[in-house]
Amino acid sequence: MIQESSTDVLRQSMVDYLMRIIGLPDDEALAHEADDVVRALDARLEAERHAVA
Amino acid sequence: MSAIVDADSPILRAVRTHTQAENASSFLALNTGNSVFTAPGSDGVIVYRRTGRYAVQLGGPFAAPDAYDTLLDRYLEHVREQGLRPVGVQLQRHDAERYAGRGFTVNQIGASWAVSLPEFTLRGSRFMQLRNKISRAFRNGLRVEEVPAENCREALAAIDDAWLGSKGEQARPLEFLVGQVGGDAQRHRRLFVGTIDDAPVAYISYSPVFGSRAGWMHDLSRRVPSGSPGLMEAINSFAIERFREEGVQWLHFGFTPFTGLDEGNELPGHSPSFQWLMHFLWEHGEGLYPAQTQLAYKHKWAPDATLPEYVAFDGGASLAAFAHIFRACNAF
Repeated sequence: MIQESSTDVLRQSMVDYLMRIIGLPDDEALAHEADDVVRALDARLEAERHAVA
Repeated sequence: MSAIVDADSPILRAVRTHTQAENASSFLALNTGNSVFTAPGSDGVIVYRRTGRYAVQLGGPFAAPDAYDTLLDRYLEHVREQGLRPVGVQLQRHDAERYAGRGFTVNQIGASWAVSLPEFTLRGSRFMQLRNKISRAFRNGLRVEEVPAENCREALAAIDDAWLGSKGEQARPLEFLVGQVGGDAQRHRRLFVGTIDDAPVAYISYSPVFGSRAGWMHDLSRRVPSGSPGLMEAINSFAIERFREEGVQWLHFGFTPFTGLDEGNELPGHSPSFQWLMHFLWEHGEGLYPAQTQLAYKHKWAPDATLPEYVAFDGGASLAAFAHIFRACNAF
């Protein structure tokens, strides 16, 4: 699902996860899900940067 | 800087001596509530706070150049053995490059701001609004004095209570990456208090800054919400004149997250998503930290230096690690 998301959806998801982690800072499963989103967005933004270059 | 004459604390000795990173906030290492890591045979200290499953480190190691890597290795081993994940904040460029070289993901998180005092003047049109604000505070009866903190505990407590009360029921005073008044380190700080009709209305605490930009850092500042406009500006202008008379070279305004962001400051291997998040929080992160308000105050003084500050993630960029920086600061 993360792979198919648009860049803006991933960005919004990153913000949402940050807010959820602030609400549940000790939830490790939530932290791992957030890591997945960050990795996916990193890959997407790197790809976009290379495409522009 | 003659106020700092003793070196009875190993933390103070380390932040005064090992200044190669030029961390203007290094005196925060002496805050009560910090944990300090040292290792036998390694000249230096690492300062951190444990919060949740994270160890949040203030700056890099304050260590001799030949002890930097060893101390950091032992610290990382120490916190990992305890099941903690390390994350560093307020790393300076010097530290950031070292951490990136070790495989940390390092991103700019904000900047600190500083004014060169020898050339500083409030003359000229760029400072007209600031001058007017300062004049208004003094016309409203403000008097400013530099005082020992132990002589005005009740006054400071009254200001703190009024300040916190104005922030709403959920308000929490920030810690760790902000200054303190009191404790063993107080004799090294300077305190300027404003009164109107003998009632305390505001104060600014300044902490020492070491290194090539030595001077003072405009640190903890609070005011009563019902006071005159321009209280902080007037107190700071008073302190600036005092510092200039003493020949102090730099006034630092400290770190503000999400500010001073620049692509050119990023290091190879940084996280582009985290870089984007910092820009997003600058625009929309008021609820997490009022960066725009804080920077607006610092910009009033036309800073001469913008110094990028970094976060270092152990492995990939992590939202949980980032959140725990704010948790360590008592933000939530």
